[in-house]
Amino acid sequence: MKRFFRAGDYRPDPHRDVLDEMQSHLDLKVEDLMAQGLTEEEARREALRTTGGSSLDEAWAVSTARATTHTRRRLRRRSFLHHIDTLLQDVRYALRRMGQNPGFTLIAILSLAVGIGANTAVFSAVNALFLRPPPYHAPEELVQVWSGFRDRAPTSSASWEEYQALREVADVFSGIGAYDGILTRIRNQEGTQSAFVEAVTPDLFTVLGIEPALGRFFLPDEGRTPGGDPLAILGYGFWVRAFEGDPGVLGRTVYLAGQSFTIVGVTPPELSALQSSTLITELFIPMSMAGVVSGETDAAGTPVEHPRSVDVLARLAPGVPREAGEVRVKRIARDVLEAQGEEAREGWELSLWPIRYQAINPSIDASLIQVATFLLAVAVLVLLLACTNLANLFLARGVDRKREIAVRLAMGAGRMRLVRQLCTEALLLSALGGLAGLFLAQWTLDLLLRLQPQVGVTFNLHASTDGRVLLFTLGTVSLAGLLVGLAPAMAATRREISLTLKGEAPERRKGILSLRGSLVAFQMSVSVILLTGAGLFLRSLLVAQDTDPGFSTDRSVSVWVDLEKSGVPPSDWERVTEELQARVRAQAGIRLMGTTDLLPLLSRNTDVFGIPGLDPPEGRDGYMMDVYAVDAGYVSVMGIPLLSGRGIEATDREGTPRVVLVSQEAARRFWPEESPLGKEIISSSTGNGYQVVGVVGNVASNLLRDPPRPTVYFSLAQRPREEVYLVAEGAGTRQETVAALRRAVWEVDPDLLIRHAQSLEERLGVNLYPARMAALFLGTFGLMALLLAAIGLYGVVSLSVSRRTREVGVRMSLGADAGRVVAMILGGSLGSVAVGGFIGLSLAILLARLIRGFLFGVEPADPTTLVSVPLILGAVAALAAYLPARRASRVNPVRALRSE
Amino acid sequence: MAGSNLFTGTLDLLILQTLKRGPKHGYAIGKWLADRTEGAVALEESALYPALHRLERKGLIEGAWGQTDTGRKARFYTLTRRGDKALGRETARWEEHAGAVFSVLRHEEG
Repeated sequence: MKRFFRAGDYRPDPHRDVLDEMQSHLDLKVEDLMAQGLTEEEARREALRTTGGSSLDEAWAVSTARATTHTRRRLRRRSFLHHIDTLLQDVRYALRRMGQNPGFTLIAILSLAVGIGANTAVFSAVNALFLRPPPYHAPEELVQVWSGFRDRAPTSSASWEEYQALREVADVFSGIGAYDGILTRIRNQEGTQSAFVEAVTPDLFTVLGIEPALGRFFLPDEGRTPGGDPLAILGYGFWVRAFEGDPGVLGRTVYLAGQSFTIVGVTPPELSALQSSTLITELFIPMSMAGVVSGETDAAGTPVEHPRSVDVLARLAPGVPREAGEVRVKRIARDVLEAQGEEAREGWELSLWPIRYQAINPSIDASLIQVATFLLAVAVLVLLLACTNLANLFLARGVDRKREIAVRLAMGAGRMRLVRQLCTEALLLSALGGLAGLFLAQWTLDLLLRLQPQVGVTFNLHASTDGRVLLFTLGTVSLAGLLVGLAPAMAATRREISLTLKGEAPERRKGILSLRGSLVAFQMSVSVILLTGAGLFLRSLLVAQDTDPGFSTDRSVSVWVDLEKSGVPPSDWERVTEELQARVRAQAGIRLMGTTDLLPLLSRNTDVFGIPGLDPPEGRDGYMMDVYAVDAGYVSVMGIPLLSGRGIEATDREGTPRVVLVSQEAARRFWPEESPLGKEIISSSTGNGYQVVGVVGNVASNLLRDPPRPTVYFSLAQRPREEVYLVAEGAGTRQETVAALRRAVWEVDPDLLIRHAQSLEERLGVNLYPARMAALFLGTFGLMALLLAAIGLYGVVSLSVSRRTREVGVRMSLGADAGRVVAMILGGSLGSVAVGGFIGLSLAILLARLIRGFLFGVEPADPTTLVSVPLILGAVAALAAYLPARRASRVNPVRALRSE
Repeated sequence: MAGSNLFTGTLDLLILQTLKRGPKHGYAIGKWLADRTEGAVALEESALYPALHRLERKGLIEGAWGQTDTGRKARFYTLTRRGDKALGRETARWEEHAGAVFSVLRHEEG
């Protein structure tokens, strides 16, 4: 160093000198290229491209770095630009390499997109449910009061009395409010629909610290008198949907449960519902109207003054920690119970939960977290698979380039520079994969929402891509990029230069425990696990779709009218039902129609029956059977076969003999030796006897997979019910038939609540939804895994073939035939496949038990799946290994030997 | 890391050898090496010039501005007497060293 300074002193301007030399270098290169026939412009571009600004810069930097401190300072200023330049050069280099190998690039981006997309999708859902802070002022001060048994996740809200008692403790809370969610009906131009409303105490919005988007919230003295202050605040979403965001909506009237409410305000857009971030509340009403809207009455028939239990939200007073508050609250709960004279509920207590990370309620949250963890584990597995696979391919390519890299290292290229260059490519691929993954995730979540079955309330899984999701994806991208790029880059630039320069470095011992062998084994086992899961769900789905529900689902539609929630008194149920039936029949284009109190699938009503001549089971009063109340048209519109006897007829009314139909299963079980026709059964709920007049086919009552249950069909006219399903088959499309049914209901009374209208096929779809989703997603993951494993295996075998070219040449020149060579190479590669497959299968069998509950007509140890998955994978693996092996067998021995 | 001196030395050796046939400028040195090794030794400018400047500092070569055949300005490097001696000495040492390494490698491979 000292010597250099002396030498440097002789030069007037050392770095100027070096710069001149660099310029001269470029000029000479341009000249040289022009001599080879390039135009000057092309030559200049080429010279700059191949040497780049940066290699010269680096030379300049190294040569002058030690010149003077002055230069060093200038250098430091330059070095930032230098880094940018290097980076751009690396990116250009990576892009060029990616362009040279579009197939590889596409597969890399796709597999990373699936891996990253899966993680992003799951995280978005978790984010929407748990991580996104609620839209309230200082949400960390807010707590929700839950009640339940000590040491267990609470499931219940607080009782009204507990809420009243809590309001008295001024020193713990700075504010406290309560709300209650009610499913009711709202009337609009198209008829009456169900609506989810929340009744709130007037101070609740103040406690939350939010401001209305329009108008005002409730005033402190509103909503104190039961039945008073029929005011409504629109949920923002409902305001936009139903009123097109009309600012003139204030002062207008809405009809809830047949009662008029005056609109006084609109909530801010962030607030979807108080109860849970997964629901959408259409309207908020004062607590005083809760009883009127819910239809809950006391014995005398007057609406209740307040709900029995309410959700309580409170803001902790400044400086009061949640734990301290909880101690006070527990004592209050005890006092309340004692005041009520209740002692039975030993261990029942109140607890305070931070609302920040709360989705629905603590116990449902726990199971949601379980599901999310399972999904995240699957997603991480897929990403890991994609990463190991790409790392493997990079490793293979790195070895291909080892000679080039060794020379560059020997010639003084910085190792870090090379590692960085190799990593840049991986990171770039990862970034592109991440970008595609973001879209994939959003698309997946949209798809999930779109396929969401109709169940009456609107779910708000508004898993939009916010900053947190982006950050998560960015982190995943970087991690994936490093995972893919770093190890291969380090391995490729390891200084085994002497070996590599000498010729082919001797391959390390290949065995099932080599790095690449273990990667292949790992990939195979993950593929087996994912594919087994996918296979089981797919088989469930096929079994389910093949299962005959016992009625035809392709033509009919149904409309569910809730008479009780519509405010129709029980004495009028029969009359209204008859009017509905008449109106439906009067609609043009209705060919068949029937009425029932419940549609099969998803839920069931049961009754216990005594059967004369048959002793009830041990300890029971009789036999439990599913029950329906149907009219004369029901059996034929549903396509349920009448096996013997007659159906329900219009003449089976009040005052005529009570009759029932029984299902084939009931006939088989209770009258195995004889015809059930003419037998009598006694309903334990009414005490009446019913004569069996017909036998009909079995239907799936609850879940498709359940075995048929003994079922009884009453005559609806002899047993009026509060709920009416109008089932019809029309001449036109299903939509036209649904419209005709809605029109009929409207003509009878615009206030009648239509809970929902759907085709029977859609209803079946609800039943199949979980199986469909699981099969779709695990199937996609499984296929991706299979594809990835195949690509990985192909790459590894190709590589080992190319490295054994010489050996193959020797063997072939010594007389080995092509078949032997293929067998030798296949044998070497498929060992790790077999090990991986075996491990994967064992784990899959263990893990399959965990999803038993989700399966459907398929055992976790389903032989079809457990045999076919390894067979398919084995075949794909064999093919992936065979192609390069065959290439090896066609090696020209002479050329192979010359490569020595 | 122990090997890195050896290889830095190798580059120096190659450069000195190149200059034994007469003065050359940097671009010509790189091109001559690449041609002679059929592209196996592709010197990056970032390695070549620092090496030249290092050798010049050590007094093994001498740089001076001159003109090429085509009349371009370039910095020509000439082997000094000290450099010539160093070349002879280092070549012998390198051969000895390389021979030892190869004999070990061959042994292991056999």
